[in-house]
Amino acid sequence: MMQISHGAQVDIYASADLNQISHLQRSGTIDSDPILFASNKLSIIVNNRNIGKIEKFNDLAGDNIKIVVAHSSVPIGRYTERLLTNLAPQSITPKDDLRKLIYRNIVSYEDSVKSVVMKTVLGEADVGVVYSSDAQLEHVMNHTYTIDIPKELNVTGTYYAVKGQKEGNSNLQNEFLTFLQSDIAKSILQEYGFDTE
Amino acid sequence: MTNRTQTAQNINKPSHTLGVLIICIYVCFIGLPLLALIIKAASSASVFTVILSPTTIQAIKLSIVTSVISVIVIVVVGTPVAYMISRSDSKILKILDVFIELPIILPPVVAGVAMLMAFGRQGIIGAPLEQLGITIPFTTTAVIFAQIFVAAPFYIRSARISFGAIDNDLEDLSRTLGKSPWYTFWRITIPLTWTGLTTGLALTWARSLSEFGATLMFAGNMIGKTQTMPLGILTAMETDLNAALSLSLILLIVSVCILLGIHLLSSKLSKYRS
Repeated sequence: MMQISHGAQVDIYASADLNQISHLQRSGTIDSDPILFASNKLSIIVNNRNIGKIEKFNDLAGDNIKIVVAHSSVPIGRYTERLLTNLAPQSITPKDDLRKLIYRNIVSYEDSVKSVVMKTVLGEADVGVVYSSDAQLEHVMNHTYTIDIPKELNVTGTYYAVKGQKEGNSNLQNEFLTFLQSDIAKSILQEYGFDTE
Repeated sequence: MTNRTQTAQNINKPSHTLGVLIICIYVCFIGLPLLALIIKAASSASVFTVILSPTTIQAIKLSIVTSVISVIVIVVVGTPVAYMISRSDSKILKILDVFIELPIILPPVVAGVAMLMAFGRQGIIGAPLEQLGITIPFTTTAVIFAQIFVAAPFYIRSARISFGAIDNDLEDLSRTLGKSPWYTFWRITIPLTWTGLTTGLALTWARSLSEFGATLMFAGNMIGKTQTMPLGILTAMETDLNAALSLSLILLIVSVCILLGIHLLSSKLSKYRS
């Protein structure tokens, strides 16, 4: 985003954050409308060492559990924050406590979802909050398992694509955007764990 | 005297002009980005709100505390190591000499992964430590570990070269005069190598302060605990460029102060000692 607003010429800009696209539209860098082409739920992955210890969402509030999340400066971090905000009114145990306890267990706000995945896979962290598409990757599944997030808490991340400001490729740009909405693209995205409806 | 200098300058004119030109290019190349950073940061309205925010103050504090501890450890451990390497003929120490510089070549992220493999919860030493209830990753200790790992070579290398460059006869003379090895080390070796040691110290300190990749990988990013200035800058970069610029400016000022301080101290002390 920062590169585009400082003049990088791109054909297509795809982002997990509609705010960033709106920001570019307001500044006049981008003038067409974004299309929604995929969405992605959050998943909680737990390192295999914790089988028996962490089995359900409320276990995240337990003692000596290390949770890593992404920082709210990246989209996944904002979704995670929203998920934890959703928690307050619905929690079963004394209301704020569950949320406070989970926050207490967060040991790092990583700069990307990739670092969250890596640290959970390595077992440096017990729990990581990632995208469902990350949780389904083979090397992730080999070292972790997922626990269910109560439906009313989960947050859906949305992916938008928009034509960039680079000129001269208009046909190709349109073609790619159409392709993103086609059945082929949808089946590819689904294969990698994204929702396309 | 003046005439002679002028003649010398005239003879050397072409290379002199070339020299000045090269210096200008170099100064522009290094100076322009820094100047741009200062101008942009200073012209943004948020500079003072960013500097005074609790997050920034915590990051500055953490950066200074961790880098001071790292530098102390590096000097205490690194000085004897550098001295032994420069004085000994042992093959093992010669090999060690090569390995000491390795962290400089490693990309910091690799250094971070290596630290995880050794001191992580699943690491070679980290796993048994975990059994004892000691966890290093995601702690301030991890920040210091990362800084020492990455920054130590700069001091040790500089110290080793300085120790190697002084005349052994002076040390021998002192000892033949009946002075103890400690006395010789403090009164002969250290004063003679002072400039090299402080140069190394300044480099090591600057490197610790700016350490980023290994810290992020090994220690994580948590305000007040592991979020040092460089990590704060990266975090701000994603959302607020102005905040990131202001933070960069502060880091720049702190670094310049440290470098200048060490330089002044060094030249004053070497004058005093001589």
